[in-house]
Amino acid sequence: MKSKPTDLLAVSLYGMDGRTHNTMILFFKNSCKGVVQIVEEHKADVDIIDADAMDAKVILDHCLARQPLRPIIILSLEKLNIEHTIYVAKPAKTETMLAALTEAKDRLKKQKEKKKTILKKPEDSILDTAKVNRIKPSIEKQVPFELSSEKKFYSNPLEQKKTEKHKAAMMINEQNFSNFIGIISGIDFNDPVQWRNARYSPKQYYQGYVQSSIKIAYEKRQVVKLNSDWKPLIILPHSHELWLDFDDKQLRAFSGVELTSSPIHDVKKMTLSKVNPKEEGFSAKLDKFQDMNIFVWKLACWTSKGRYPDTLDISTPVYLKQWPNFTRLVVTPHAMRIAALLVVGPRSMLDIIRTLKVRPQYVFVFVSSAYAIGILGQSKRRVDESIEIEMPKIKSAPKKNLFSRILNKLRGSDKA
Amino acid sequence: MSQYKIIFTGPVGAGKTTAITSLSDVPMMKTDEVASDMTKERKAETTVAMDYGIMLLNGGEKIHLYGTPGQERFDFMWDILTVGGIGLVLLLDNSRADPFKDMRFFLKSFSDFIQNTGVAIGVTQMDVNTRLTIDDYHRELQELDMKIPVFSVDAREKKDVSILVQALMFSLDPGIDEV
Repeated sequence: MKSKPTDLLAVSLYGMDGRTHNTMILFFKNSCKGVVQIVEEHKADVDIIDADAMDAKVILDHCLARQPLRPIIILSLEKLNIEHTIYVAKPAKTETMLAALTEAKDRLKKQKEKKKTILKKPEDSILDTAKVNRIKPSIEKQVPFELSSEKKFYSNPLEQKKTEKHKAAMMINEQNFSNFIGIISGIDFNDPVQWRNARYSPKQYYQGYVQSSIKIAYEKRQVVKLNSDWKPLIILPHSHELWLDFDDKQLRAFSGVELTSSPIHDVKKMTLSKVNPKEEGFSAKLDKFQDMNIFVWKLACWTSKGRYPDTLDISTPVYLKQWPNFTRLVVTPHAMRIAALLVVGPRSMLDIIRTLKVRPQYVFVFVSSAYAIGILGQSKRRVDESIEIEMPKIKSAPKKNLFSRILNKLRGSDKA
Repeated sequence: MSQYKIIFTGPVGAGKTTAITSLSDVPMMKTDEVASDMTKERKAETTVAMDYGIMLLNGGEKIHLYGTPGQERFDFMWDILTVGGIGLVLLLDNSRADPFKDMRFFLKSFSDFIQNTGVAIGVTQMDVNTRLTIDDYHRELQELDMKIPVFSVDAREKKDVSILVQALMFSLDPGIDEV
């Protein structure tokens, strides 16, 4: 009888180029018939890593940190004895692979049983209805919530040394906005007619090259290096990190240069290459790692200089998919207000300027950064254009005043 | 004068006591004691009653900062605590076994309060355990049809806790004027 798909072990493959990946699929299809199905990373029960891949160490760290309990099978030419992993020698033989898959299955089974004994009766701890505002107060008493007996999961000791990655946010207020962001000549932001011209093309700047390199790194699942006549940037898609050996001052200066028309910089030198982490030796310099979104957000701020990307229309509504992680980002003036407003519903940039009564640069710089990290988009639906979304008017004047004073206190302008 | 509160909640060891200490203008009243039950595996001392701090505003007004007891056997106190509350700060520990389960539990427990006010989520221990990212939390919240602030937070960093509470204020009313 043919096995049901549910009996198959969901496996994700890492560190393999297209050809090896296809070979492995054929191997599982023919030699390990009815045992395995290849799935995407987030759906997998088991990870299989080619340890001879150039970025194997990074991939392994990522897998261990992301899904610490998920069994990992390591394929390698040399005998490897790595904690928490199952080793299979290359070239992989059917018997050895089947044995490794059985061991992985056993580990999963044990974990399930263990979980069952720890989490008894969790019936009331799950939100059944989708919307919180639809949730009715529960009449019955909550069941005891006793996850506290569980041990901590795998923690990555190297992670805490990535100081730049976990650095607190930088708050930019109206007074130091121009100093921080730089001034763009040729546009008078006091003249609303000129707002439409406050556009820029990210493609013509370093931002564009970085963003397209990141896209390629994710598509190929490959650590890549963006070379230029400046300094290299290494992109690590598995851990959503970047590695760079330059400071913010240098980045700010470089990001503002329109590379396609620069007499100093040669865009032909802007190339992408595969990276061998062992040879590059960058992994040891942990303080040079940065979170991808934090870096791109910052880069977009400095490239935008208060303009908006030319792929967006100023009068068509934009929407925000989620709140930006403001504790780790550059927080430009009114960014939190703009985010709070857009979370309620789509609005055009012109509408945001009008509603919040803020300078256009603050809206444009926020839109540029949020768009660059992929959490903001432009509405395509006509319905979004026709619906005028009212500002939530839920707070009474005294409460508004209270919130305002709390805000002043938190921002340090109220030294009570 | 009205009594206004901001409520801090979350599982044991998520950083509620530390977060309140970061914001309070007066020495915080701590009610931690040596844990004698299962919580001791996560935290040597745990909050058995509640933590309390004060933020002093211009004009003498006080914002009371209350931390809910970490142990859920004290959940009967949560309803009392939320009376007069202006918003909820939910702190989650990314290194716990199932932070999503924690999140759902607390969102459900405080659903009435959240519905009438607002909530902001701070995820602690992001530098210790990277298996769940902030985007993962947003994906999970999307299933609950919730768009709320979720930030990486180091509860020891006043700036982090401050930004989290600021976002809570803006989500309550985006029209608040910035200084």
